[in-house]
Amino acid sequence: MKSFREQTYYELLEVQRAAPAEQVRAALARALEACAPDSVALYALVDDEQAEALRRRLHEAARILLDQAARAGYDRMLGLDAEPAAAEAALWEEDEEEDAVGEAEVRAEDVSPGPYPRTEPAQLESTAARVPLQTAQASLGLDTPPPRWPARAPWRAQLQRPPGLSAPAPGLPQERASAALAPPRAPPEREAVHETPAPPAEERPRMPDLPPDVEFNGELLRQVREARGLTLQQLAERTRIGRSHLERVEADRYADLPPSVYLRGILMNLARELKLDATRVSKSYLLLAARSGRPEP
Amino acid sequence: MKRFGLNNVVDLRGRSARGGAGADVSGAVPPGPGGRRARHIVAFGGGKGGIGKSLVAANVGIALARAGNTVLLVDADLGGANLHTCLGVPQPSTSLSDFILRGVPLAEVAVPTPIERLTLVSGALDSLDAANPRAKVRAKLLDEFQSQDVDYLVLDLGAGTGLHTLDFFLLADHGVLVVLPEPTSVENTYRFLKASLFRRLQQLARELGVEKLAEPALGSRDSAMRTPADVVAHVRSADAAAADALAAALQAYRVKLVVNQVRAPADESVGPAVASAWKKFFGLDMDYLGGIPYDDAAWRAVRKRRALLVETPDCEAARQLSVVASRLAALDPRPGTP
Repeated sequence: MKSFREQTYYELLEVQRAAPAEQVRAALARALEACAPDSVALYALVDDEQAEALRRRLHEAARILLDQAARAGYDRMLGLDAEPAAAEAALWEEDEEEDAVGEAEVRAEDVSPGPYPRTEPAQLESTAARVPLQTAQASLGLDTPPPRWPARAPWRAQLQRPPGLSAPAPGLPQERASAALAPPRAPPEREAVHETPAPPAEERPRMPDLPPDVEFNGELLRQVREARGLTLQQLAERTRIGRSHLERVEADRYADLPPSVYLRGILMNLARELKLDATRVSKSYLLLAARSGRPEP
Repeated sequence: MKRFGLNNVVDLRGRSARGGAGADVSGAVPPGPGGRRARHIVAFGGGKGGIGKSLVAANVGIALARAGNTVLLVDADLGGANLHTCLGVPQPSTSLSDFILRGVPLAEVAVPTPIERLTLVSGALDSLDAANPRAKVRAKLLDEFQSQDVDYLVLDLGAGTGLHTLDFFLLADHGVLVVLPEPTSVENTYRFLKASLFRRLQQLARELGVEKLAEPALGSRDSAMRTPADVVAHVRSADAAAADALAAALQAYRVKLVVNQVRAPADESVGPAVASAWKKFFGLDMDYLGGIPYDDAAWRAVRKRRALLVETPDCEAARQLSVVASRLAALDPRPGTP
């Protein structure tokens, strides 16, 4: 009777324990389609925030399960014995290429809940550091001496804060019991988990001022996106919102945007990715859209 | 058009819901306590009107009967009954109203249909009393449903989330929701699911004597729905044994889903997606029984007032309805086995 917040990554993606990478990827695509903002299957079941929380967790699940070391560590945390995990390693051997992509991404993006996989050629070059299975425990920080990896080792960040494990461990009864009485809500923003995206901060445009009464129009959203060092394409991948929608949002082309009920979902999603107050952004933008006199069905 | 009146099918009455010839065909299930018991109760609901509940219920009933089961179809759409039309039976002179208002046993109210082993209790005629039965009448109906001596009692529920509709749905061994792959229908389906889950939680809390405990966690029916896990956790804080029992009972609350009028390839994924979403947000399993393709043959059959499985048994919609019936039957142990 576990909701998605307590389900294991395997339950969440509805895959077997030994599911190879391509199955995990297919499962992620299927699940994301089913819980996309305009999905009929989610209509009126939960609010946008809960749907967004689910999408984030799906991404997180896929990222861990697609990363050999993280997955092995995750399995141990779940109390699954090492035998099947070792057998599974064979599956991964056949998947070298994918592993390289996965590691590059985890290192480059640290632990952001971004989409997967996201390949950038520059990041693929230095993937020599391949974490052997035995270090899985270390990557979880469970009863292990401090990691002996060089300070600048690509995996350093992950050793200190394993991706996905900064949240309460899924499936632990105590966690569940204490959290269970709270009404359903999105997990808190994990600011600390978000990393620095691709371009170094100093090269990016300055973050625009955001006074409390600021109007969030498309131009301002674009400035914030650029200050966060995200391209439209990256934002589209992370939010799973179509790039054309994002372009129209930023261009304030209200008449070409979907009806408010969907637009709100898009805005909430977009704002969260930009680490803005999602409610404020969507309210402000929807007000602008309404004032534009665009036709509503 | 071939019509079946009451007079020319008298020979079928012997097979009606009293353990006649039909019971032997199904493998002679030993009678339950008191000698009578509906072996399986299946209820078709869906919250919204006009989504083909009656058509699905009627044709699944026909498929079950053709597979050798005695089937009693009950039009429980109090106030909006038309199941007889889906079966090609003229408006019977007896109906559920006779039971509700005068206590006539259902077995006597049931009329034969052109399909062997399938009998029908027609829905209540428009009567305000019948459309909104009070708790006592509701309880009497539930008892009567359960005591029918048939292999399958198939209930066709009305639209909405009235208490009688929810209670009939919850009484069933298999509550089947019919949904169309469109937002309005999906919306009503979730509303129905949440309302029936709320009602089930209330019932269970009462049965387990933890009403007072569960009350704050349940909130009101219209407030934001807490998940079953929330309610169980709340009960657990005071009574672990009751919480375990509650959790076990909720696990058994497993709704079935049929998607009707599937037109586009994308519609095919709506069933599994709804089941998956329900599991992710409410933590409960849901069984997807299949999709019925949109088929002109279906409305042609309705216009001719004939059942689809009788009129065009080879069309794709009819085939999928048979698949749904066989999946439903496969959920239960075979007749004759414990």
